[in-house]
Amino acid sequence: MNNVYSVGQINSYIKNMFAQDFMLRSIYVKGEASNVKYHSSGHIYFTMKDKNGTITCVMFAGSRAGLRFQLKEGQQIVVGGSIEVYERDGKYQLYARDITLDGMGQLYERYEQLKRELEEMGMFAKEYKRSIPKYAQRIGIVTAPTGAAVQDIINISKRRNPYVQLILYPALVQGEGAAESVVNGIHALEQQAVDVMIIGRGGGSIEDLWAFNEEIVARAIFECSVPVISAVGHETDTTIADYVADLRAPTPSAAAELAVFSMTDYTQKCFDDYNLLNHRFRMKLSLYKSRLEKLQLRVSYLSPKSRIQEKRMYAADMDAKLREAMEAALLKQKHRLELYIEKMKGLSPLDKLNQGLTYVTNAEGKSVSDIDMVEKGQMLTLQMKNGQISALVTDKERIRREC
Amino acid sequence: MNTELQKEDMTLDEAFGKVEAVLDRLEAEDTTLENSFQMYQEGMRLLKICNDKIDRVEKQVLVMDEKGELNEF
Repeated sequence: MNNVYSVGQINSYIKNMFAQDFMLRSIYVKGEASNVKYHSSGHIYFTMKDKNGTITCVMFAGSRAGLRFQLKEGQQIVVGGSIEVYERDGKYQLYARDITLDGMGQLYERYEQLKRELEEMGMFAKEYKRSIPKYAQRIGIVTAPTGAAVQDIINISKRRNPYVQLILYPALVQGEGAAESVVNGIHALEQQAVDVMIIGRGGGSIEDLWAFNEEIVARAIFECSVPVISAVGHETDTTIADYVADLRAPTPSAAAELAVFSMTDYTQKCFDDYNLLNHRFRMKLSLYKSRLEKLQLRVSYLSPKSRIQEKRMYAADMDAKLREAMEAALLKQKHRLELYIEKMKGLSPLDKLNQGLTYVTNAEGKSVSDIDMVEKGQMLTLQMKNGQISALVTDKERIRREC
Repeated sequence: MNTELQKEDMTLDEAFGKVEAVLDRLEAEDTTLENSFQMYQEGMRLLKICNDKIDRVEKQVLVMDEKGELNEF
């Protein structure tokens, strides 16, 4: 009995074999989860199985970032990790680093593939986007008749414009037959001659939104003769339908805001346009009126009548100036005359006579103002205010007068 | 031309577009007085069409049944 090994030795040997295997160090295994136990330590113990067998699995607390959902019994999962031997029990198990739902991975892949294909076909191209009518009056809605999405759309629509006709196609928006139902809705509403269509639903998981990632829905939207607004899920969920639609609304409420024109804004616009029309017309009229007035003024300036009038004004003006100058000259002379008159008055002998003085002349008519000019016996004439007297000099006496 | 017919032919958006074109032309310097009278009348007519296009009756939401018929929601 040469080759006898202890249990520990053999387990260690096998562990080493596993460790040296490149494939087992990093491997992906798919199967159904069962016996899921979340341990208080943070580790998760579970088993994966398929119809041919089972494998024990553990995800240590340190690897929990690799699991982004609640692991549950019966889920189809893909586990990535390593397969190692647990020496103590002599068992091998899968040490999980990341766990994904198998279906989700597939769906995501299909989504990416379809998105690529349709994009290559040009179905997302801007050139094919139709503009959303500003004043849509018939609006089609393809969504579930129950749930928040349709209520949100109706509420927003009623608030913005109660006169808009909403037509709902009650569609199945998730599960079996949902895509076909949405496609039927698009066709049916096209027949109803709506001006614009909203297709959508509220938020949900990628599986819930799946109908909006189906090619038949994408094609129906692309081929729809009526502009389509998509409103699938929340802002962060972007479906193929969103890429194909003529306009993508982040939510059903936002879609209603985009599709239904506001009656208040509309009334305001009518009012503004009416005022603007009147204003601009009036501006035009007053422009012409002022142009007319300007021309009238110019014509009247240039008319012979106006010219004569102008000359007349000029003549009258000159006449007035001449008169003024003449009067001023006359006045000046008059003043001068008055001045002389006053002066003459001062010098006039008559005035002196008036004051009682007498003017004496000799026989030759010469003024006698000196005693030496007079001889005794000489005849003198005395001039006074109201007559003259002939007087005989009988005596003369020299008097010295002080003055 | 029948105004009823025109009413049918034009969408509100087109009607508003035309009103705006009229407003621009009214403002343009080279628009004659005669033309601006026409423009004014045209603008008023268009605004009336815009107004008439809104059927001011509150609408019930309609829902389609399996036969494609419309019923109140």
